[in-house]
This record gives sequence, C-alpha cells and structure tokens, in this order.
Amino acid sequence: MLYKILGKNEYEDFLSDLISKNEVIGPKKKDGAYSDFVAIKDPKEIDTDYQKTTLSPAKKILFPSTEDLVAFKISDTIEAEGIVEYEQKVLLGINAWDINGMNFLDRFFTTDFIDENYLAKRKALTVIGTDSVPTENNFAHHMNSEYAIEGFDLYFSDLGDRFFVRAATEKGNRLIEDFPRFLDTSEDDFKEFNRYMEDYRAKFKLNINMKNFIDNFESIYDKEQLWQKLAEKCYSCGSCNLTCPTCFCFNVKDDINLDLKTGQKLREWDSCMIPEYGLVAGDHNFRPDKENRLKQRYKCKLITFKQKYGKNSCVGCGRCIEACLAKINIAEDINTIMKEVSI
Amino acid sequence: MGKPKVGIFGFTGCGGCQLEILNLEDQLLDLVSAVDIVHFTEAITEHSDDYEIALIEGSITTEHDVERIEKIGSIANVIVAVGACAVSGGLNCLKNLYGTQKAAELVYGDKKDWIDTIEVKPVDAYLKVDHYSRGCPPNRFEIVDIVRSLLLGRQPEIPNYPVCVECKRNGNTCVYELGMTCLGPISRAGCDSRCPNSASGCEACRGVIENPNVNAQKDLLAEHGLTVKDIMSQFNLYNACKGKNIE
Amino acid sequence: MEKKKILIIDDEPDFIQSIKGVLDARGYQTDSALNGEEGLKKAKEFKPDLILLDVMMTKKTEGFDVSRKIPKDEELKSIPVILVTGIREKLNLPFGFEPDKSWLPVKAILEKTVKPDQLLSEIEKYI
Repeated sequence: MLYKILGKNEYEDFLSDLISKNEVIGPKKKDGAYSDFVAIKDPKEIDTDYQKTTLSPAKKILFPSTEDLVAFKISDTIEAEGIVEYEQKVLLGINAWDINGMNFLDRFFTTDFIDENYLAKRKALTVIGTDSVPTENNFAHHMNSEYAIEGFDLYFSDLGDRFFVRAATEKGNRLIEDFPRFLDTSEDDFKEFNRYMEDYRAKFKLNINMKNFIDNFESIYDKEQLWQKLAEKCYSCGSCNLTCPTCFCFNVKDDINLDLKTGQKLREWDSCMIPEYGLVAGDHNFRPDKENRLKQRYKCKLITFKQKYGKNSCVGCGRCIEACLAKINIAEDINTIMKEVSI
Repeated sequence: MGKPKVGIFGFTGCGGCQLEILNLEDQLLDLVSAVDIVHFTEAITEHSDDYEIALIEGSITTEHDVERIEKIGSIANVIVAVGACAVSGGLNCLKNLYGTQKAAELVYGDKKDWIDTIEVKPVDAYLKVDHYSRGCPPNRFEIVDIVRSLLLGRQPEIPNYPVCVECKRNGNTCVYELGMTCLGPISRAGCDSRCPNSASGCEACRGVIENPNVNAQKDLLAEHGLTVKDIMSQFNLYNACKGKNIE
Repeated sequence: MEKKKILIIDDEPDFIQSIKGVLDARGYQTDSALNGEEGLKKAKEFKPDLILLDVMMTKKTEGFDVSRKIPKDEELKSIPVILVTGIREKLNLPFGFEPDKSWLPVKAILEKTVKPDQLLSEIEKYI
C-alpha cells in the first residue's frame, strides 16, 4: 500500500486531468435523496455528498442487468460466437462497502468457474474510492465492510484540509506518478487519518448482534411460525436482491429473431425471492412459499459464504432495507432471530 | 407449407393495440416476412375470412360484438387476446361498476334504448384464448414474441413477477421515494416498467400477478394517505372485470 | 459489563483500520500506536487487556524488541501480547516463529494477512 497526501485545492485539477484522459463514471444527483453513477464530463457535476443509490455502481458496470452472451445462426449447422464486451472506464467515488461488495463478486465470478464477461469488464475498470456517509440502515461496520483494504486502485479520505490517499495497485501508483502534485506522508498524517477514521466509524449507528449467528440460525431454522411472521408482508418483488451489491443470480434466455435463424443467448438479473425462481421444467417449484424464500435469502447472505469464503456476502449497505416496501428488515430480523434463540 | 395466415381484429377499444403493432416500424417488415397478414382492420382495406391465427383487440360490449367474435372463433385455430380490453375487459369494465342500464342512461339520457350495449366482457368469456398479450397498450415486442413462439411451436415467456423487478433492473428510483404511489409490487411485469421509467406510478394495466400480496399493498397505500375508496379505484382502473382477484 | 481494551501497535494505518472495524464490532475498545516507543507509552496510559504487536516498524525487528520490553515493565508485564506480522512473507524467510519465554515472550504469533475470525478466536483465548 502506498500512502500519499493531496492538497484540497489540487483535487479538482486531479479530477479534471482524469476526466480529460478517461471515461469517468461518478455520482450525480438523480431524484429526491437518490443519486446515480453516470458519465461525468466536469468535476462540478459530481455529487460529493451522495448517500443513496438504487443500485451498486460497481455491479451496474461489471454485471449489467441484461447482457448478451452468445450470437448464434442456425442453418444446416449452428454457428455460435461468444460475446464479451468491455470498455476502459474509471469508477470514481465508490464507497467502502460497495468496494467490498465488488470484491465479493470478483471472487464469486472467478471461483469454480471464470466468468469471461465479468472478468473482461473488471480488468478494464479503474477504481477510485471515497468515503460516503452511511444512512441509518447501514450496518457495514458489523459486516467488516466499512473499510476497504483492497479492490481499489486509489482511495481518497477527506481529512478536511487535505486528502489522505491510499494506492493499492500498480495502476494506482501510476495514477499518482502521472499527476506530480501528490505529497509524501508524515507520521502526523497517519495520526490524523486514524483520528478521521474514529470520527467516520462513529457515523455508523445501527447495532446488530452477529455473535454465534450461524449456530443461532441453525437452531431456529425449522420454526415455521417465526418465518411466516417475518415473511408475511413480502411481495416477492425481488427489490431486495436486485438492489443488493453482491447478489449474482441470473437467468439465461434465448432470443430468436423473426427470421427464425439468427438470435442471441443473453442473461438478465434474476431474484431468489420471486415465485418463479424455484420453478423447473415439469412445473415443479422447489420454493413455492415466500417464507422459505426469505429463509434462503438470509442463509445465502449471512451464512453460506461465511462458511465458503470466510466472509459474508452481505456488506450491510442497507439497500434491501430501503428498497423493501413491505418493510422487511434484515438487520431487525437478525436481532429478532437472536432474541428468539434466547427464549 | 407456406406462411401462417393472421387476422388482426378490433372490438370495443381505442384501437391503440393495433397501432402498437404498426409501431413495430422496421420490425413490421420482419413480421410480414414471417406471417401473412390477411386481415388488419386498422391498417389494410382488404379482408379475408381465411386465417389460422387471430389477434384480437378490444372487449365485447355489444350484441354485434358477440356475433363477430363467435365467427372469428369458428375460423381461427389460435386466439391471441391483445391488450387490456381483450385480456380482462380493461377500462371498459368501469361501465359494469355502474351497471349497464345506469351507464347508458348517464351517457345517452332518453336515447338509451337506441344503444346496443351489454355487460362488458373480455374475449375469453366467449372464446378459448391461447395467449394473452397484456397491457394498455401491450408491449409490441411481447406480441412479436407470441407470434414467434407460435411459429417455433413453444410457449412464450410471459413474466409472472412484479413490475418492481423490471424497475430495479432499469435502476429507477422507486416512485414511492418521490411521494407517489404505485401498484408495481402486485402488477405483472413485461412492460419494461415503462411508467416508473418516466417517474409515474404503475396502474396495473397488465393485471396483477398470480399471487399478489393484496393486503400488504392495501396497507402500503393506506400508509401513503389513500383511503379504501381511493385504493379500490386504483385497483379498478384496469381490473374492474376480474373482480375475483381483488377484494 | 466493562468493555475489554485492545492496543494495536503497527506502522501500517491500513492494518490498524482494517482490524479496528472487526474489533469494534465485536465490542472491544481499541486504540493504536504507529511505532514501538509510542506503543509502550500508550500502553501505560490506555492500560489495555491485550496488545496486538507488529514486527516490522521503524526497525525491521522492532516488534521483537518491544515484546521483550513488555514483561520487564512493572506496569505492563501482565498484558498478553499477540504478534501479528507479515515478516515471513516480506523477507521470504524459510521458517516461521514460535513464542519463546525469553527471546519472544508472546502468547501467539499470527501471520498477515490474518483472517478476522482467526484473530478474534485467538484473542478470546486470552481475554
């Protein structure tokens, strides 16, 4: 890790320089309290105080909601050609928990199988992170996601009068070399950074009890009434999965053109909470009841990958809590489960 | 074998569904290369009584409609109901809420007996419908998908999940965040969430999904200041005929 | 119940911050120091229940020196120390280290990059 300082007044020049040489995707105000990550043409367009985005900015770019995978042509034979599209981009302003979410997807799409489409886009992406203020539904500090140690090329922390900059990759080091106004750090800078992080951590207010969660979940797994109560208002609308930075499920479809000869195989985001998710050929549905779908989602987010990768897939961003019109709340439900165990 | 023959018919409705088919523009050429359109009320003068597939727009609201629909049923092998009016009765069903006689009186006064008008019903009240292309207007690409599926001998993929799925795939800010209400959580997707895409609440023009959480939706709308009467009028805009789905 | 205190002595802000989050979430009270001298001073003020100590700081083997100073100090000798170091990988050493009563008087040695769960369960053995 390389540590540097950048003066506040130099930052806008750094951004202008970056924008002049790259396609930069950054946060811009959208509707109401929401911002969106879109192409930035001028540093002044950037919403530096953004808090909420409907979707994770990394997932939008690396694993888009629909994506063509194969182009095919049917004649006497079937000709098929893989489609892998990517563009060099700079993602600017992604926060720590979304970076951690992206790291999870990086791991998922390169473990057990290599997802060429994801990997090509990921390699072409330069990641520059900044801290954003967590909402009241954010519990990233309980998911070890309020701080990013990898996954970014550069990370800027705003100490007030200067930026504390971390470079985690060769690409990050080169970005620093290309803009000669970065300064070396001193021990005072390190101390100031530690103080800054104290203040930053104090902004995370939501408390949950994750101690022994895996065992506790096991012990209430079969309590049907509990799960029915938790899932009672669920619309099975999938909003929780689709706004989640780490949900990776997708459905593959074949789209044939009207000539009945050419077409493409494509994928689109799927959701384990919609009724059709468990529907297979022959009309059997593995998970027809919404309480079982909710239980499965919690297991996937809070247990499965803790066991498989050593870290939860949930990063505590709170998007599912904010997106759910039925007000199903994973943080509250974690606490409810813990209480249920002690009964 | 030759291309399958298709007839496109309009009943009681605005004609917008037929217009949507014309809105296919360039793809219309692909469509007519794949099938033979022999009857198209809104688009061509010639008509033919020799077709295998009937695309039907509009609901049945007069005795004359009944005669016509039964004739089509005796000719076509495949019936596709196109648009909310044909699929579920659509907006026309608002007449049923008043009662046919009362509605005729309100509109035509002392001339009400001159008017041929019966209870509004969807196409499937009279014919067995093989495929439904829902929506007001329907999604023209879904109409193409249905025709294409008929040509390929497979089932078209019509979603049975809420509009929220498409809305989130499109990255929209939920319209509830913008102070509006929306029937998206219980409405059937397949329209690519086009109303929320323009920051407008969904009105369930494609009907509700198979197991909608109506109680949760009522609570949600009540939280946003709508009374039971307001809520029922939201539900009834496009779904008044299929009252059995919504209490 | 009073919160247990942990002092982290490490010159890498990144390591400090990544560990602090995990410890805070688990309910520990934490403080940090960037080198051995500051660490010993802080330890006397903060009075931690446990110390996490890095090796390579201002000097390549500074952590070893600090680990020997602690048991010799009246105020600090009862505090358990866990060494957390990347020295083996950084210097490409063909051997690891083990605690030793006189030469390396620590309770345990963990190699960076340390998994949060591993660190937490090790800490729980001593406090």
